[in-house]
Amino acid sequence: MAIVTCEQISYQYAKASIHQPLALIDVSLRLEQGKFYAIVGATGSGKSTLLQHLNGIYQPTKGKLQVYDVVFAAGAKVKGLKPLRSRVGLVFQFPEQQLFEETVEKDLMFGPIQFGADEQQARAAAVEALLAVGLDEAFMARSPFELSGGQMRKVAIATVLASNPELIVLDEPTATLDPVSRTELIALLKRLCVEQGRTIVMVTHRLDEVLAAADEFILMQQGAVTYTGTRADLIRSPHLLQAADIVVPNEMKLAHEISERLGIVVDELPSGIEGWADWLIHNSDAASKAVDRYATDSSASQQEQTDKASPRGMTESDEKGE
Amino acid sequence: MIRLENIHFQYPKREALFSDLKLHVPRGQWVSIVGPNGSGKSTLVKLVNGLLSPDSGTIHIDGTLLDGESVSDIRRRTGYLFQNPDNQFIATTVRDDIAFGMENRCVPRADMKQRIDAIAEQLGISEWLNRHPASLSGGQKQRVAIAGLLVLNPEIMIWDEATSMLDERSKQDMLLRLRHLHKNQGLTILSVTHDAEEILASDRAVVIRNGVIAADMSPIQLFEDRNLAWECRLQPPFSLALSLELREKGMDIGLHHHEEELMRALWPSLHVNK
Ligand SMILES: Nc1ncnc2c1ncn2[C@@H]1O[C@H](COP(=O)(O)OP(=O)(O)OP(=O)(O)O)[C@@H](O)[C@H]1O
Ligand SMILES: [Mg+2]
Repeated sequence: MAIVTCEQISYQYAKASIHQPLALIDVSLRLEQGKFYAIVGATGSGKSTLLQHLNGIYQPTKGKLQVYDVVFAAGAKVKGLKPLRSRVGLVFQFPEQQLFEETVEKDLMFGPIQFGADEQQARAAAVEALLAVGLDEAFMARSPFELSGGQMRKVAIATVLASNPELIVLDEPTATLDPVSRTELIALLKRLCVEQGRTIVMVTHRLDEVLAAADEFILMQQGAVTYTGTRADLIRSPHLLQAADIVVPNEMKLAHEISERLGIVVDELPSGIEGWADWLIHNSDAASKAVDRYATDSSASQQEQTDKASPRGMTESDEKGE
Repeated sequence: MIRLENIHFQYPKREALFSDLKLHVPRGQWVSIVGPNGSGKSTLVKLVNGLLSPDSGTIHIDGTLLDGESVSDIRRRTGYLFQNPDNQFIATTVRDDIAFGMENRCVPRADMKQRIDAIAEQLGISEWLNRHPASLSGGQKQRVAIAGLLVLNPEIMIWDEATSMLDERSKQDMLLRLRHLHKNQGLTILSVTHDAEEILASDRAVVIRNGVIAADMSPIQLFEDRNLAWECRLQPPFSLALSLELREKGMDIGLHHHEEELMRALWPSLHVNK
């Protein structure tokens, strides 16, 4: 079921000078419920502008946009967006834009209370969201402005998760996260998608970090959407990325090259470090001995391998607020 | 060049962050400051730039003790970029903002315009010079902030995740520029970063964990030590990560940092096992 439909929407910033091109140009898109979308594009290609249309912060200057049951048509300003905003949670590019209370707790409870939860429910949601992003309860009492950049980002993400939105929209949420936190966040989003049918729309400029997780990829270039499709399609056509001025990740280069050289369709190729290592070992003669050895090792050590393979979930992270 | 001795630091009403921290950075070295979120990286570089003062201990920059008297002079010689570029801008146009930094350092007015135009051209920001910094996208802001710093030719550059919002292409561009400046002008660089490529391009990785220097070594050593890298919440770039994983699983094809090398090493033994 489509939850978002953009029909040729364009957007011009009110204060834009005449020399400034449109921020969005004729964008058409359909987003389905329960999928993980990754939006990639060069600096200034319109990603943030598009995202802010999804909860009505910006409304199209041309064309028509529907998000759930709300229709935004050019020229007709829609007001009373609270019900929509309870369904669509947006994490801004700069966490400072998201935080305004004197404690993390108040910031986290703000959304749930706005959308009808009582104090107790809101507090429970707040704690759950905080733990989900890998921060412990001691952060509740801290001021959101006296945190490190990465901690502030995690709190900003948690404020959105606390309201339990159906559509979670994130603008470069991984930018200031340490690499392991980045992986953990993407795993968390993927879980919300797969286990709870939430829809994820995430902007990133690191295509590699979402390569395994995202279902659909949307490329943007100078305000226009130049491509939407699956990972396999994207791997088959690296020129699309080059055209959008996006560096082709090494994992994609490897997939592309192996697919060409061995004549394997990309859909059959693995993803992720673990996946690739296992696949390469399986498909190489130098490793057949190693494979034997690996296989005859006790299953306990195999277990150890897989444990190591899946980083501790964000919930078990050890970042202390005190 | 940069010398921190016995640094103690604590934010008000919090536990001590640094107790007896020590760091020496010789002139011309490029140091990556890495580590988990909240470990103290930004705090460390703010101390070096005098934005925060230690509770005790000393900081010397090029032999001068950093104190209330020397701080403005030292700041004129160092270029500092904030983690959030919004903290960087003062003026209402990009051009004025860059000019402001130059005025501060007494660049003659006559040179200013030409220098701004030249750096803008180099960094591809010319078309934004008349815009309000706030109207730029996140990555554009970072590019503008970097331009405003490079135009000043600082002797020491301190970057706090200054490229975190750049797209990969612009980031590789900046990295190239940084390499060039480091090599040709002997620029001293202190850069807080989570970016594997940038870390690998630098001379030295200093890992901060819970306010302590947990490792201080060459970037390659750090990434090749899987456990240490993991504990420091770092991830090696794809090709290296894959060669490490293969080695651990019994298929040692050497450690490769580039996809082409990895492919060359893999190719001879590869065939399809159905
Ligand atoms: N203004 C402040 N007041 C109180 N505590 C602070 C303040 N700024 C940071 N802290 C705390 O000090 C510790 C170190 O923070 P710092 O900003 O140096 O971390 P960092 O390594 O730069 O992290 P990140 O990767 O997230 O940017 C953290 O626990 C943080 O919560
Ligand atoms: Mg920081």
